[in-house]
Amino acid sequence: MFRQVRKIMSRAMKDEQGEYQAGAFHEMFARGRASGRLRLTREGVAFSNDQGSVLLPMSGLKVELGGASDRLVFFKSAAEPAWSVYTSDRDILKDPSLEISLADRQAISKTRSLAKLAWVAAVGLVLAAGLVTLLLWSQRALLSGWLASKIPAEQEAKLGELIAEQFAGSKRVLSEDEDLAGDWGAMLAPLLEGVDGNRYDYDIVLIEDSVPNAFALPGGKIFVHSGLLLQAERPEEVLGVVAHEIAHVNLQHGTRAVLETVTLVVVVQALIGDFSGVIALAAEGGVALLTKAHSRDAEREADEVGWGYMMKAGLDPAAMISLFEKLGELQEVHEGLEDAIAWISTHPTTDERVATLEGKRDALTEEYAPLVFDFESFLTRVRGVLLNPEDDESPTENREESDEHTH
Amino acid sequence: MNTHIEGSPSFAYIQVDLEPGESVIAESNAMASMAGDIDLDTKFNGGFMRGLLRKFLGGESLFVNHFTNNQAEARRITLVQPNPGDIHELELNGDSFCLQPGAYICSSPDVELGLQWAGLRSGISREGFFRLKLSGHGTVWYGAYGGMITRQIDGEYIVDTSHLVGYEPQINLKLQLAGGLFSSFFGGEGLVTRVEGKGKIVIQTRSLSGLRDYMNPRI
Amino acid sequence: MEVELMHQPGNSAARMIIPAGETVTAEAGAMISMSSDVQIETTTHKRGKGGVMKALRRMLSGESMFLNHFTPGANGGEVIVAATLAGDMMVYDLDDEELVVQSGSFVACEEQLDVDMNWQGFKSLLSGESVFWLRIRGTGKVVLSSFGAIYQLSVDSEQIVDTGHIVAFNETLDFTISKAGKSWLQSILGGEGFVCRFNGRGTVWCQSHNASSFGRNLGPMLKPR
Repeated sequence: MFRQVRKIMSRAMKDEQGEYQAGAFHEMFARGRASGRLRLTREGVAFSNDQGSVLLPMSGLKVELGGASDRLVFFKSAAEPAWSVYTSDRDILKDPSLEISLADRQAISKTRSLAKLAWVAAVGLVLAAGLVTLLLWSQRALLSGWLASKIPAEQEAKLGELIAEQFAGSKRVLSEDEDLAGDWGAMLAPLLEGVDGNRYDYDIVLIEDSVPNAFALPGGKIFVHSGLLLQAERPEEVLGVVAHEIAHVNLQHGTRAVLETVTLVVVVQALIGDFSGVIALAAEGGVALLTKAHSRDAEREADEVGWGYMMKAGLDPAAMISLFEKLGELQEVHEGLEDAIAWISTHPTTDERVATLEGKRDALTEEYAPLVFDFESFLTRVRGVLLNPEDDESPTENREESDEHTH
Repeated sequence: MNTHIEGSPSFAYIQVDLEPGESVIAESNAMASMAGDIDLDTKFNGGFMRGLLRKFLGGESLFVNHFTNNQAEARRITLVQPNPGDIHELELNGDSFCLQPGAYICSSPDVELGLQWAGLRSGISREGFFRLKLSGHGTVWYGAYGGMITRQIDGEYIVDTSHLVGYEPQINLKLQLAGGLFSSFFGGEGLVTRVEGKGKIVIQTRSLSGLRDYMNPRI
Repeated sequence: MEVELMHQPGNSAARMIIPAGETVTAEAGAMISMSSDVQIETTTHKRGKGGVMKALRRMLSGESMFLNHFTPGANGGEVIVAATLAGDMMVYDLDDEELVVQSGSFVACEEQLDVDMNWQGFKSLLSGESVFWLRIRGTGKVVLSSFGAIYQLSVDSEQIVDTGHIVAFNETLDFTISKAGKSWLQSILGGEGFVCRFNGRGTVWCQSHNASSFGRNLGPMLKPR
């Protein structure tokens, strides 16, 4: 019904004299363009308005569709190159007085049918995309796991290294100090043997930072702050934290959380074998890896798996509980206020987790012998190293946050 | 390169006329309009890995766009920022300037875009772990939400963290609690930045967190 | 009518001076002040034309379903209009032609102009920006608004405009939605995504900001509903 109404109206636009509403481009017009009337005569297309007129001869007349959405009919003639005339009334194409060359006619019908095709294709595309997206969205947990495993370990490691460079660049690496390196390695050895054979090479680094914290970077580099070390009473407590972090990396928790926001384009690429999109996506959401806490499930998983690593290494896993509790208590201690923020916001320890771990401790059948390691003397030496400035220390302007806590 | 900042101070944008052969580097999404024959090259910011890092921890985009005029005549490109506010132009003569994430809009090709670690707490306060450090010889354009105030400081000064836009690199930043534990812990709120040293800092008159805090209770 | 723009580009308003005998149509809610003897008639359609269908289509395009028609008294009158979002405004004098306008930008026009919504096709859908554009046709003045400052781009040779930054353009321009960079991946990762390539002859009015970019910055900070 509407189409009929439109036809009646457009016929009204074309007067009895066969005139059409039209516009034209010519530099004589103030804005380069003006409106006017168009008439079809035997000689050609005649345009006129109160400023001027022109006749585009029928022979050699070029007729084509153009303008926004190809809704306008343009007339051009080599005889009048300075002019360009058009009308929005497509009925002119059906006017018998208008001679349209075969080539032009073909071009016009091609434009029109392409437009129709595009419409159909677009509808189909939208529907298909909607369905696929829905499907993927429902499976994204599975998907993110698969995608994470597809990122080559070397890439993850490289990324971790780069971050490490920047992050630790301004901080003193205590585990490389010749006084401490040997013992640090010895302390970690039993644990690392237990997690051997995994996808990553683990590099546990002790750095100078009085804020108690520890975290893992993609690819296996794990940082332990001296602040955390100095809060511990026995080596198993530190190793418990490291085990927990190793678990996070092995389970790719961070990477997976980021990939859950996977988009269709990236999945398609990955299916073809191009993982640059996946990596880019990982980078996209990368901030989350260090600022957000892992989900409760991820934390629980890391606790479980970390606990397992400790057991496998022959170390008392219950040490995890005592350190978590110590750090939790930091909240109440006034001087520790600022320090607590770092740990707590990235590793919230809920009562539930502590309770679960305590349950596991109660279920332990073995007694674990304490690690043979002179922890006290190690800590004393660490404190000693911290008190002595480095020889090649960089000038103070370059130290920002790390300098805030005086020892 | 002929540049002009228009629409200042509420909706500032930059009209850049590139001479043949000239380029301008811009944040992704900074291009509002440009001549059809300006070449666009999207490059990983300072190399692939470095780019990932920037994105990862700096809150800047992974990619930057190189817009180059390879035609025989001047070409225009219009560069914009997402937040309504002012834009400043800064000439670097071998010196450096640090910008908060999101403030950078575009720069001339000789300016180096680097990262400076801003400290863990900076990340926790959601301002980003890294600050963008611009150095070299050239021009940088940066913008803000709202108007901008430039201050020369000598000694100590306190700035609300979400209002800091840029500062000279020799200035030290320290984040500290303004209020009690809860306000600090639960959202990075109550953290102010203590700046100390001698040099220039730039502050924006509005902040997105301010707007957020106004809107959230009303949603 | 005469239109005077004030407080551009940040907090623009348009003062329309309407002679006796003329009527101005404006978006519901656009009027901020007017002379005391101006009559208002609220309809869902342009006076004398269209109907509910057109009103619904307008609503889909982001405009209000209702239109106000302002008719001054015997001595003429003024109506001051503004848009909801802070920003710039512009006036365009149509000469028996059509102007394609982004949805949400329409503020007011002389009543003889026809305002209709049009689906620009799925090209627009792909671009991710608003799918519906308004078509304003006829002879007379139209007042538009934008979020951001408005600047004009004369199309002599091909111009590329990010789809979110288009306010309005002449119907005589060909436009295609395409990628900005040399490859699709570049476009998407580079953040430029889809852009409009304009060819032909005419003008594109661009805005320096767009609400969706600002919204994307602010949105994640707002709490979920």
